[in-house]
Amino acid sequence: MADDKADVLQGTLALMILKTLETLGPLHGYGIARRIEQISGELLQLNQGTLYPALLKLEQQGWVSSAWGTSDNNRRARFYSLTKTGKKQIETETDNWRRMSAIMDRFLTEEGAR
Amino acid sequence: MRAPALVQRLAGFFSRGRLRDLNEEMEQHLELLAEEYLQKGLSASDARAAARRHFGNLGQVREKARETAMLPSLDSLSQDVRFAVRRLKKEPLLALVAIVSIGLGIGASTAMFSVVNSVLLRPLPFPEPERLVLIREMLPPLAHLYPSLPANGRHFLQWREQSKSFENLAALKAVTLNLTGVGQPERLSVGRVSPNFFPLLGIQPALGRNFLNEEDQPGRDHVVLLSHAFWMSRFGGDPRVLNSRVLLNGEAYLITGVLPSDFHPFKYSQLGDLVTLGDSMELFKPLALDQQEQTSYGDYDYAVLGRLKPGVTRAQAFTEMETIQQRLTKALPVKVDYHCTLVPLQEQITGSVRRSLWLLLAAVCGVLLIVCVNLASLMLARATRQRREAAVRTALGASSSRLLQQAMVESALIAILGGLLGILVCYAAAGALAAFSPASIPRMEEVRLDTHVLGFGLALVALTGILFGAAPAWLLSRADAQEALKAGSHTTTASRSGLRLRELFVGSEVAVCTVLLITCGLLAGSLFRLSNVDRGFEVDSVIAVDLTLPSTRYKTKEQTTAAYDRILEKMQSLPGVRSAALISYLPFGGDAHVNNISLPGTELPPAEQPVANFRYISPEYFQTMGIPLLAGRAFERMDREHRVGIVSDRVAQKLWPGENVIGKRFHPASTEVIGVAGATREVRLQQEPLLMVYLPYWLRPQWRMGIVVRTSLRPEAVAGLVRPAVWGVDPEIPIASIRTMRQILSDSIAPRRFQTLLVSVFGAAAIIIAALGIYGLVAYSVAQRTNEFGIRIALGAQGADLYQLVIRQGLRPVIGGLAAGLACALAVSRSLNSLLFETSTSDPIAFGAVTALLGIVALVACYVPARRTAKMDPNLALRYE
Repeated sequence: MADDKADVLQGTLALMILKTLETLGPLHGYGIARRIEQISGELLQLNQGTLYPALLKLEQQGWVSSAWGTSDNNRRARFYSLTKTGKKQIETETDNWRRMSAIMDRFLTEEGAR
Repeated sequence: MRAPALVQRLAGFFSRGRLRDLNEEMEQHLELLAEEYLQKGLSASDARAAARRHFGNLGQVREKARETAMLPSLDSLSQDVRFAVRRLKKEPLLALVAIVSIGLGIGASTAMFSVVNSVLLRPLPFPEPERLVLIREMLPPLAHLYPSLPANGRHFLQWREQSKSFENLAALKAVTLNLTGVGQPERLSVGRVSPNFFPLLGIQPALGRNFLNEEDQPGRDHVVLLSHAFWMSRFGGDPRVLNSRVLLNGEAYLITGVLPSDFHPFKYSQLGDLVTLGDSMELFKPLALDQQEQTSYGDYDYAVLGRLKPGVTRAQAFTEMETIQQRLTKALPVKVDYHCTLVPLQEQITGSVRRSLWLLLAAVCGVLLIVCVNLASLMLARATRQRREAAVRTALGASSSRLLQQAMVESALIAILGGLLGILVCYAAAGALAAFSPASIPRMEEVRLDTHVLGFGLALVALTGILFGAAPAWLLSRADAQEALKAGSHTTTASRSGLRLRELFVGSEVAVCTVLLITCGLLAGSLFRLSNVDRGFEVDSVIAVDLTLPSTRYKTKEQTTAAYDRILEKMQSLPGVRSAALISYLPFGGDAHVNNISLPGTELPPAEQPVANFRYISPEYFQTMGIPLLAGRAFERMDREHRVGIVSDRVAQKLWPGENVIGKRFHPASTEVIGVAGATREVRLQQEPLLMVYLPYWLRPQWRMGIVVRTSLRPEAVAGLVRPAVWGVDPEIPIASIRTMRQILSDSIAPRRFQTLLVSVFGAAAIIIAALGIYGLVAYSVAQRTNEFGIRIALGAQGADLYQLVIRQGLRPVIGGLAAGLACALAVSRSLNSLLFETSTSDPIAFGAVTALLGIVALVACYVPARRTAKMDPNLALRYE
């Protein structure tokens, strides 16, 4: 079960992270995970650990940067923030997602209509 | 600007900082999650468990993170390396054996290759060396004895004048001159060279200047150039020697320059046969041909080097030179049909050792091959032992390509470590080769480890790694994981085909070993026959002294003769001396004083007359050397008035077949025959006795002569008395050497002996390794068949029956390998013909001995592990797995 969830979310997780960072500003891993679960209305129970490989990839691609800082409860935490390129990327990714879902829609309604 | 992902990943591989941070992050994340659950009311342990579940499989996440942060391939590679190191540490003996044997094999092979590379492959250290040729004369009637001859002085001058194919033509002749006035008198080998000799080779003096054209005449030629080695040893590298003088043969010569250190004067003898001096030249003076040397009757004694004009091929130059020779044939009064030969300089210098060096390289690579095959066999056995482990890993999810990669990494690691050891071995071996190689191998001073040698070594490392890594890899690919995991599965298909593969390995080891040993046997047989061939004279109890009278003090024939008379008297009066005699040229030095002989009144042109080696001797020569006088008598005092000579029996048979020759006369100079001496191999040990003519020394007393002394005591004991005796006559006589005749004989065989020794060492290594291989295989198969033996014993088999079984199976691949090896050896040995002496390339003794030796060794190697069967308890054997 856990595996299925990870597969489904791979491409979408990246977009979710980016959107979260855009909205909430710099945030640590736990914070991002909480927010995603929150937004999805607790319908999405993702394995929070899967966030980290995704964050690393985003870092490599240059859309996100990270640094050590202090959290609200005065603990040391690593904060991730959106870069300029990352911000631009959100638009591109959103367009892709919309296009993809539109195509999928047509597919499914076609099937349904038969 | 962010670096591309690949670079980041590479960086990530080498600095694990990011991953460490990530680990810390994830730890904290888990803590925060656990706190969340605590607040929801779970107990501490439950909260932690829930946090873990919510987070997901920490291990998997870490794995995924690693893959993202680094290059998985590089990562798995480093894992494999660490794993391989661990596995090797578990079997240190195997690892040690593998690394050391590969190291020795690669080191020795690379060292040998460095010699082959420096001597044969690398071009000569002159600019555009491919344009350098050596021009020699060829006279068809003499071609059967002397395929080519050094050039004649007059001809050289004609070539220089008439030829258009060459940018430069220069001549070289080596002579000995006595150096006096600087410490101990010394006899030096001096090169007489044309002024354009060094420019032709592209060599500039490091100090001072080259010879001028006007110095190339008798009378103006008292200038010398020093070789670097001589400058260092005699003058300590002092630059002030420039324009000072040295005394050579009593005459003053001006030092005009010093040659550069990277010029190693070749030995004159490397420039072809029929040259009388074998030492490296230490000084050079202008050629300055005198009147006599410029006639057609002058000696054929000059090495002529030419540099082809750009664009002119050797073939074109040869055609032109042949035309010039034809013109000379017509124009000159001496009626001889002249031809010439044109040989690239490198080929001339290195041609004689080419076959031998390639043979040595092939032999040492053969040993390396055997080492690799043996290791492959060992690795295969190990892989079979560990196939259960491999099966378990497969069952746990390892892909076969990953297992393969791991196996290859392991063998690559061994090969690389072996290669590193090989570098050390190579240095040592190359040093040993340079130090102990016989002086006859040219260009040894140029041997060094350069990029070609390094490339060769790397190629060997790669090949060996692949060769013995392929075997276990192959086994892995045949493995059926299920079968391997089953209990009692030691007779799986994989292990059976592994056994067959190992038998193939053993067979091929034996085959290569056979070829190597037969080569060794042929060479050894050849060496033995050469050492014991009937020379026709004594070598034990004889001392040979090589001295030169200083020409300044002995100007006339009478003075020289008198000096020798006195020296001989002194020698004969020494204690322990039975007799002493003079000889103009010591044995085994090659041809010298070669001249025509003919009957008075014959019409044969000179080129078709028989040719003999002349030697000038004192009366006691034959008795000192133990050469029998077959007829007539030795020289006596009264012969000083007449022209008399002694001929060898071959000459007698040739000129006067079937007749009594005493009293007959022959040319040159109408010499009367007063004796016939037995045939000797004085000129060259490996050649049939040549025509020899012995004339009394007072006819032509040379400044340089040899003295042979027959001793009644051990020659070494008497040797120390020789120098004082000679210096008692004249303390300024340089003595070049005092050796026993045995030593001279030994020195002349030295190259052959060196070669045979090396091949024997390789052969010995090969047979030891092959024997170990056979032993290993038989021991393994005995262990494998323990179950079966238990059954047989239970069914009543006796010890002898089991022995037979084991030995038969063990010998099977050996016999196959031996047969293949013998066939190969028969084919290959043909190419050894030129290296052998009176030994056929299919010498039955050699082949028989090698077969017997291998048979015995194989039997022993099979017998030892077979003894285990005798100690088998059938109960235990039946239950063995």
